[in-house]
Amino acid sequence: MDSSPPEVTLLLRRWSAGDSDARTQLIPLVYDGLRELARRRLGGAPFESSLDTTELVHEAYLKLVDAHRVELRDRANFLALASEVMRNLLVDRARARLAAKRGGGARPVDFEVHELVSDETLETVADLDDALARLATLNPRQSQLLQHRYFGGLTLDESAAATGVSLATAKRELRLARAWLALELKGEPLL
Amino acid sequence: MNAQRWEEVQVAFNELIEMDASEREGRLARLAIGDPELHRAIESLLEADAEVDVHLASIDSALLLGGSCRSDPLGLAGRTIAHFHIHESLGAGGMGVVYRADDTRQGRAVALKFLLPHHNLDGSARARFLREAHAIAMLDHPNLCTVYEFGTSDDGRLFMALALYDGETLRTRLGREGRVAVRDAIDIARQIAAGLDAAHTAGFVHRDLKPANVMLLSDGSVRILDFGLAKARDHSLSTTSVRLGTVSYMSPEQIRAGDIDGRADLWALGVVLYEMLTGRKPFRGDERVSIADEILSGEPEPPSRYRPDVPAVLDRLVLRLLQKDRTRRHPTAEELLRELEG
Repeated sequence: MDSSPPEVTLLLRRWSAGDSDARTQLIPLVYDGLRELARRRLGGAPFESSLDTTELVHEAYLKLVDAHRVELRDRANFLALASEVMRNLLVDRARARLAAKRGGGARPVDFEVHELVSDETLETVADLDDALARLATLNPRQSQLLQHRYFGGLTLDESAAATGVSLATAKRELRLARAWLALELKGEPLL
Repeated sequence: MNAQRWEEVQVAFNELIEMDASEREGRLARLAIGDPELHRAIESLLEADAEVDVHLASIDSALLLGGSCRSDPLGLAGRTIAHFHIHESLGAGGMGVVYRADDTRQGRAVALKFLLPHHNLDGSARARFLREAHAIAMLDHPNLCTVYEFGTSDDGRLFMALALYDGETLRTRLGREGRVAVRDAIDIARQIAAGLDAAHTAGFVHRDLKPANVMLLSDGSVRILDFGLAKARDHSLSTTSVRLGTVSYMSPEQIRAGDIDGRADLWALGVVLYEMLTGRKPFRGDERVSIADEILSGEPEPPSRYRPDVPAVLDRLVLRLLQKDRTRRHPTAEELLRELEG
């Protein structure tokens, strides 16, 4: 991997200390890390019926971050950021693939999403992305909690730390967000 | 719904979930009069909340179970259920989550498969399912996955204790290697046919034969997994659409929801054999509907078209299994087996 761990670790600590530039600088590093891991993974054991998003995100963490030198907050921030990157990667490719199937010319460029995402899951991923975008207009944090869960496999503790709320609040908000998501995916959204 | 309104929804929802049933009734009744719109929203959310695991089962199993499978998707690791001490999860599929466990009574390692919530059944359907699953478990054939026993966890989830095999699924093999040597493909098909023959003779149809349900053991033997489980899926309580099933291996009569017999499994074996030989599925399409269309009306190319070293006799055998009219397929797995052995 091109990016050296100390750089990512350092940026994470600067981000936690309030340096928002650090987050901007982290994004491309996390993108590259996740893409590289996904590509290598596909060369080896292919995915079965599900997306190993949690595993990819956590593997990226182990590869990119010096775990001994970061706090819970740094770790949570990294995983949260990685869940966003993972969501973008998956959703872009899922949509490109769906468009290609419907006769458009767009082909996935970075890694072949159809290997990563089973056909039946493509629409699920796209639907989830739409739903998360709608929830973000009502309450951005609740949308983030779902994103953390589905695209990064964050625990509630990590999710609470990354969004800066108490564990009890995160738990309550995730419960509501899941009920809301269930209605969206059932095709009975709240008006 | 806007952000301000959502805030009100959130406040009311958080209050209501803390209340007991009668308190909640009263609060809801007052809300219905005071703010009918908010009342409707809250009622929908509470309903969804009560069964949220069922509603989100398809998305949870697509995005979560695989990811956390090496850890502990059902939160069971380290626990003891009945006489099973549960270790880490081995993986998850459309039907359930599998854990490695120790059978402390028999002193052996087993694979414990827990059915996903949306495949759990109510009283009579559950009893029927268990009766049939028990009967299939009794078959004890070298090409069928050995089922030791069935049970129910404290939270009412069905599980089965299976033999723990060293190997990989055919799906994993195909994913890695694309296709299989002709001789190996015939051998795998022969062993699948032998397993089907035993089950069909006893009166059971698999209904969901596909590469993910074919286990290739490291000693070269083949075991069919999940025999009879598809019935639980077809009869499960959940009415939510579960988009995880694959249509590619379904016979025309299954797509038409007609009556099913062993010849549906022979069709599926035809699709699996085709895929092993050519690395592609005989009936292809962009979406479920178009695949189903192809299955109902498309004519597959003979495998040799994509792989010239497939002998003509094998071409004929595969195309016979893929006859849309099941009376034109091999009448029994036994007859297919004889042909494959010849």
